Amino acid sequence: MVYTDLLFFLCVLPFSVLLSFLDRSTEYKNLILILTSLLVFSWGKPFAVCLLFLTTAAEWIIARWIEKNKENGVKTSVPLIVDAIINLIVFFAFTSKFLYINEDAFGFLKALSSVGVMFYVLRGFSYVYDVYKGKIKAEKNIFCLLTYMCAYFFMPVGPVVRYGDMEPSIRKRSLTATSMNEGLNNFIYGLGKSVIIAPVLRKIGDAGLNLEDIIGCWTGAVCMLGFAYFLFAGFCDMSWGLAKIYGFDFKKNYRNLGVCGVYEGVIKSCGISLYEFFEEIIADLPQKYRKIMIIILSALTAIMFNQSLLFLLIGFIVGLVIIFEKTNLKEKLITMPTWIKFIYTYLISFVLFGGLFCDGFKNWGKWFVGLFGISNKYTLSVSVKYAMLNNIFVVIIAVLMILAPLKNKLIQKTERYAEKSVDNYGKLSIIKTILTALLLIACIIVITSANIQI
Amino acid sequence: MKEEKVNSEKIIDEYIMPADCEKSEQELEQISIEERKSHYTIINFFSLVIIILVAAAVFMLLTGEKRPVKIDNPLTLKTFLSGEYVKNLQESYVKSLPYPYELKNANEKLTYIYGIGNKVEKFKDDNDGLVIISDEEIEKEKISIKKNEEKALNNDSDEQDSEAEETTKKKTTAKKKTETGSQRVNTTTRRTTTAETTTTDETTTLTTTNNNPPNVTIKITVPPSITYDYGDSVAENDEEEN
Repeated sequence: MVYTDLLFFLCVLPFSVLLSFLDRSTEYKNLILILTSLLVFSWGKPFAVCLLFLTTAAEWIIARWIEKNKENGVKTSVPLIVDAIINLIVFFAFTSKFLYINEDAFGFLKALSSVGVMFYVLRGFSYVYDVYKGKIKAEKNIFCLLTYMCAYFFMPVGPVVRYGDMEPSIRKRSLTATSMNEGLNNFIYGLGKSVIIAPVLRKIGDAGLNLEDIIGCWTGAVCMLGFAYFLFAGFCDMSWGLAKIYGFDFKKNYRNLGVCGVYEGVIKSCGISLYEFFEEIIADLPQKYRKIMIIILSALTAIMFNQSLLFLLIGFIVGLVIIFEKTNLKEKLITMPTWIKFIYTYLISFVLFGGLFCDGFKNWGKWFVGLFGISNKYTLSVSVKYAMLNNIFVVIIAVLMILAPLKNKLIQKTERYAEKSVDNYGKLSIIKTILTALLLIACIIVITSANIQI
Repeated sequence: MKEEKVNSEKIIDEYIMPADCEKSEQELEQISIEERKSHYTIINFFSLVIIILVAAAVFMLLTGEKRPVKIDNPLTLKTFLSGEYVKNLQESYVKSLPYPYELKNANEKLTYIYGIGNKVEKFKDDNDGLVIISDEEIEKEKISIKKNEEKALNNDSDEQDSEAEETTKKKTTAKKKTETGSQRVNTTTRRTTTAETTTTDETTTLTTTNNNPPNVTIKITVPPSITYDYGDSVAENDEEEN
């Protein structure tokens, strides 16, 4: 079950939130959260629940064992490696479609299932790793760990939240109208990004990646990258919003795209917590192993997104690009003019990641050659033209949302206007409420309509 | 002196706010501003919650009419463990959504504003399920009705020569898979002709009656998107009848 499932969005979620209000104790709220999460994951696959319990129990035992042995002065790197191997096995077990029963109306599950499991296993590993590094103490209460591991809003797109950051909220948390409102608004924005903008971009991307025309090759890849970004950002917003509704608070797992290099500007922007965790692991290693670890981790991340040779190859190349940027380009990137940085960042990202949407090496080559007008039948095909024209307003909104400077300016202006007086604040609030309500209604219509079969 | 006294009293009466009070006054003002702001937050929150709860209640309590809702879904250990039970549960929820045609039409209108050159498809209630009628089909529908009407009239004029009353039954098989329901057209002309065409899923019956009285009522009930093949298929049907 995903957030865009009608049954989740209009049945499970309202019931779960209303039930969690019946008692003020955090233990009760945790219980409702665990039950909801198990319902969401076990939807159609009760075996997934067993796997969740088993992995949580494994993390709990290993962390306790590491802590106990550490106190006795025994080396604890072996259980850490064992935990990493267990998590890898769990990853491949989960990605064999144990979690989900059938495709959702928008076909997002294919894109999300691997990513979700990747974040799940990394969250478990991060807990054991933090215990190993002595940053946190091993949790004695397995139900607290179960809440951390199973909370469904951490699942589809992360983040790799650390147990040390979440522990206070798991033990005691309070809810305010402001935080719940913020959460609900973010959930709706995320829903809008996922069910309105992302499918439109995918539609244009699919039309473009037929590789029949030059403009299609360019727009197709750009739109597919946009689809991936908006899908990820949308689910991040929804996860963050849901966590707020349940009383948790953490950093969002994405940020605005930047121009400070392929790694800092693009890759890290889509999965901040994941790359921060990897940076931490790399920083803990001796200098001579760091470069090889960068390549291993980037290849591993790529393969976790999609188990194919093309992704593995691109993962290796990304690793090399990161090493190049970290060693040779670090200072130059700071002093370079913005427009050169922009061209460098997005040209490399485009060529590297545009190929991810091509089906295999052969199509990647065909697409790459097609960018320069070789082997194309047309300059602009009818399907691409109409796909663009029919959705042009949505594309414009998507572009405006991605352009960070413009977005920030608009936010600053509205904030300044709101600060002038309470009346101004009220006017803006009412406009925001109306627009959010309209967006919510539009999302309900789109989701329902996608579910009704002809 | 009195006046001075009064003046001095007046001066004394004027309240000079101590520094602490001024600070607390400012804080109070700040609190009132925050409170007013929080009202807007609550309005925002409750309006969104109400929309979600109303939608949830409507989708759970109401079901779409004329749609198959009941799915045989026994809860056994086997069906539960295989995931079939929840799959069927989800399916029955989706199938029982109320106002499916209205929601589809609303979605069509929504996608219309996504860009330039979008066409709105209309969804119409039908016993068999959802049916799409595009603008082109509506045009075809109109042409088809006109043709049928003309044919009925032509048949009448041919048969006007013979004085005897004649009834012809023609059965034609509808070629198109999609059927857009029946539409009734009433036309009154000067001739004494009654043409009645009734269409079901598989057959079409055309009844023509020629009478002497001066006024004629033509009643044609035709499925708009069905094309009538009066050639081979009619001949075949005639053979069948024979």
